[in-house]
Amino acid sequence: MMGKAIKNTDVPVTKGTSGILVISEDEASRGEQQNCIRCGKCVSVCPMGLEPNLLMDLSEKGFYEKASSEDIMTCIECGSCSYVCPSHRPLLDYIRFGKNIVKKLEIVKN
Amino acid sequence: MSNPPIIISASPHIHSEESLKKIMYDVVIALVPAFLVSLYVFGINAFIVAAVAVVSCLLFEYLIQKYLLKTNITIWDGSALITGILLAFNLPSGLPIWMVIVGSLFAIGVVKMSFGGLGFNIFNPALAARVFLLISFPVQMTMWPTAVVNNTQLIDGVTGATTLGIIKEGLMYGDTMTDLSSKIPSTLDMLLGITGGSIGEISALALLIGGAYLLYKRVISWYIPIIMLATITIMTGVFWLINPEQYANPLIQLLSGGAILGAFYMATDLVTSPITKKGMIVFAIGIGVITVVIRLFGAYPEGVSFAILIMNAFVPLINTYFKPRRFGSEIKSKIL
Repeated sequence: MMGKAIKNTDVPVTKGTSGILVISEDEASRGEQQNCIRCGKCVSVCPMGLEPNLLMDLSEKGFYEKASSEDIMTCIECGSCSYVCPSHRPLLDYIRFGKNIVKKLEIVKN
Repeated sequence: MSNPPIIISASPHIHSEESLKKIMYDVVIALVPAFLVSLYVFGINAFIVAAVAVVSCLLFEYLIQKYLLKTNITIWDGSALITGILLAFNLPSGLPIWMVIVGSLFAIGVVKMSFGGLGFNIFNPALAARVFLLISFPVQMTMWPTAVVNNTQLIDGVTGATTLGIIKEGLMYGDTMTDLSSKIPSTLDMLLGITGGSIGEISALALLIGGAYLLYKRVISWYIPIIMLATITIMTGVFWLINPEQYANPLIQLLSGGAILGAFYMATDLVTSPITKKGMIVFAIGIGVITVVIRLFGAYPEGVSFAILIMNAFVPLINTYFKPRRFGSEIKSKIL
């Protein structure tokens, strides 16, 4: 479920390809995003002990330094938070986005 | 022939069965047993209060979303429905209809929507509205119709005090618990709900069945209800052991008033409770302690609603200071 989505069949199968999944439209379509209800499900499933709901908010609103101090770079992008979120929030998308910017900011700083 | 557009999104590509609606309607299902008991005990009045509260909560949410905020209409996500039911559960069944409507307006308009709608409210809307009504209309809000199972007397509006009210008043006038034990309902009556009180709080057994369903469905975790009830039991138990004539025993404290309703349905409200396990434990202990202090030493006989609202205000602080244990953080701090 965490693989790269491919657009066409020209992508070769290489030695590192462990499997190809075909997912139906029903399974793959994303639900409508709703407000975070702070149920804490993302926090309880996060294997790294992060708070995905907080990290998503910080990335979305542009508080990258705070996101960095909340250990956004520790995220291993397992996708459990997005998978479990009852409000269908794209938590991992925003965390990836935030991680990219934090990475760039650190390069600029050094 | 052109192919339909392919939408490609980032991983994860599948989603759990979990959804907001499912959670909300699970809570509604869990509240059904307690509502049935109140229908049996209080009759048609309980139904009228509950129906008015639910309809007016949905209506106010619709009006505010449509004409004030001009956002998507989300009244069917179940949150306003739960607010309505829980508000009705916190009111006496004989309350005038217009007060129920005022309470609904306060719950949805002031406590929920003015903060930004679902997920942004600081306080539990139903509880805040109950406290608002209690402070505004203290007489009507403490007229508890007595439990008459065949419902014939309710039309005349026979009212009596709740168990905690009887104890509080009796102790104030110098009675001992032995004198009062004949006046308060028996433990079995309190368990089944044949007692005075607000619509939803009377039957401990029905509330526990609903609570067990919520735990089974994993809508709530056990930390808040169990630790809160344990705190109340231990604290009142200590006072009871010191002086059994001046303090009610822990079983009465647990079964009477809103302790169980509060523990399973109000304190566990997802939006207004802490996110982490450690935070939940602190939150639950806080509610238990404040409840017992208000019940034993305060002016009001019942303190669960105040206790939950006070601790709700602390939730942002709790979320800031009780973080989950970050993987590898201890090693990192040792190295640095």
